[in-house]
Amino acid sequence: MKGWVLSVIATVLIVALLSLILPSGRTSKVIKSVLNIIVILVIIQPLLVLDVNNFTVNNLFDSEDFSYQYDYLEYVENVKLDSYGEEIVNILSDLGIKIEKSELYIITDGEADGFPTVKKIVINLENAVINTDTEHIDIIEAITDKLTKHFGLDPGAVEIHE
Amino acid sequence: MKKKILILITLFMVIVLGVTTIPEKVSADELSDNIQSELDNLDLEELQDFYDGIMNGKDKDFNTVLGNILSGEYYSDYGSVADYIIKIIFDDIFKMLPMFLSVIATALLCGIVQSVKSTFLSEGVSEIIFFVCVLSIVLILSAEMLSIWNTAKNIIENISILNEIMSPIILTLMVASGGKVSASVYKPTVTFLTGGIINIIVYAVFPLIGLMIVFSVINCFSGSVKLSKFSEFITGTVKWIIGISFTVYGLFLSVQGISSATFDGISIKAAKYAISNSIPIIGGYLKDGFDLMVAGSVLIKNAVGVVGVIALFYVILSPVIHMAVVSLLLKLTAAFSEPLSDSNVSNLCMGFSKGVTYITVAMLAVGFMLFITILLMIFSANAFI
Repeated sequence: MKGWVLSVIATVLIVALLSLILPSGRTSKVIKSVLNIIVILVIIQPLLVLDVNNFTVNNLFDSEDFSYQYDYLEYVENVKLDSYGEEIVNILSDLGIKIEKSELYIITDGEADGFPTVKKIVINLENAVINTDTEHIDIIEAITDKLTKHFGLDPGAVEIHE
Repeated sequence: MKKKILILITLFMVIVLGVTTIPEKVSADELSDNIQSELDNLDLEELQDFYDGIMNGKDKDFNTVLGNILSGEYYSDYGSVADYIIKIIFDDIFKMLPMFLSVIATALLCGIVQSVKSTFLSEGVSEIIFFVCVLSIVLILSAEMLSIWNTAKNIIENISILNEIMSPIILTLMVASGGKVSASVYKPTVTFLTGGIINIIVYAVFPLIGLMIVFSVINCFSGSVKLSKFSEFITGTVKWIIGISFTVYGLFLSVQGISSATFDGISIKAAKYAISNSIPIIGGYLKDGFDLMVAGSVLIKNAVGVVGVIALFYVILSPVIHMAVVSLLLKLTAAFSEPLSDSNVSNLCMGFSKGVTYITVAMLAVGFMLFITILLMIFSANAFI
């Protein structure tokens, strides 16, 4: 590009100088016309060698693809998982079961999209403190029923260990 | 008795009001703590380096500005910005004045030569002197034109760098606040801006503007070589390229942004309802970690967007003012040289002025496109909450 512009400038300067030093007469008009044609040829010279067949629009969109800050997304997901854990602890607390968050294991969809979707919940009731008087099997059913409704899960997605 | 009942009722009201106002304060503190821990986990180093490099002491540093925006205490001192602008204008005028005075002096000399042509000089000699005068004006102005050219290319490169630094941060925060679809829509849009639009401006528009200036100059050199229509053809092409790029980009961005925000907004509301039937309690909208995280991400995203807009403003401000001053001074020089000299000299100055104007327009177009992109990324993702 730079070379072409410089060649145009040089050609025009030379033509202008030649026009100045040419003696006036009938021949000078012919010579000036020829010089102007040369100027036009120099100007359109890149168009003559332009290879349009190899040009695609994709050539213009050549830029590095960037990625999200996955460390931050992971941190956000962990906080949200923590809040899910708190939700589960609160639900179990309403059912008369006191449990630590460490006894819960939440499996999500694994997509780094900022909103982890709960797929499976595993609860270990071994160290939980149960305050209710209802029978053992009712507790498990009640927990499963409550959690599946709350998180929109299938019944088999809630696993309880005692 | 009545007094005792009244006192008891008053006491009861005070206790109730006190209890219901506490959750607001607790929520505000929790939100503030949450934002701080999110900031600690977010990598803003590149943006900080870029911002502090651009500001260079003109305003507060990055961390202060971000903190002020997040706490709602940021205010723009319009007085000092206006003073800064006026200072740049006058500095540029006084810096450029000697150059333009020398151009006017050369134009005056040209005029004198033209007027004594028939009396003292032969036509050939006077034409050569005129040629040399015009050449010297071109040499004086070309140095400034090259400087403006390089400055504009650097600014566009800086805008591209700002886009490449900011976009991953804003898109990450958009994903964190639930705008997964919006982020996936804006990702190619941002690439389109960096790769497509900026490449078109740098590799197509700028060379065409350079050519336009060259042809304007050549047209003024000699009566035998006429390239004014070439120059007009290139001017038209430049206008069309900038206009079409701007329009296509704006339409693409607006349509994609609006539709994706609606989709994300519905998805998030459905997700929130499914998770906890969240109904805001009076005096405490943000009642759990989930909402705090989303709100924190949105606030940080907006704050980072505002910081980016401020950085963009300062990236463009000084060069645009300089180019505007140069363009106006060139027009003024053309106005002064028109009665003093040949019309070719004033046409030359006007040709240069037009070139500077188009360079400024191309630069502003790129800056404005980034500005729109940032605004849309901020506002479309705010629709989630």
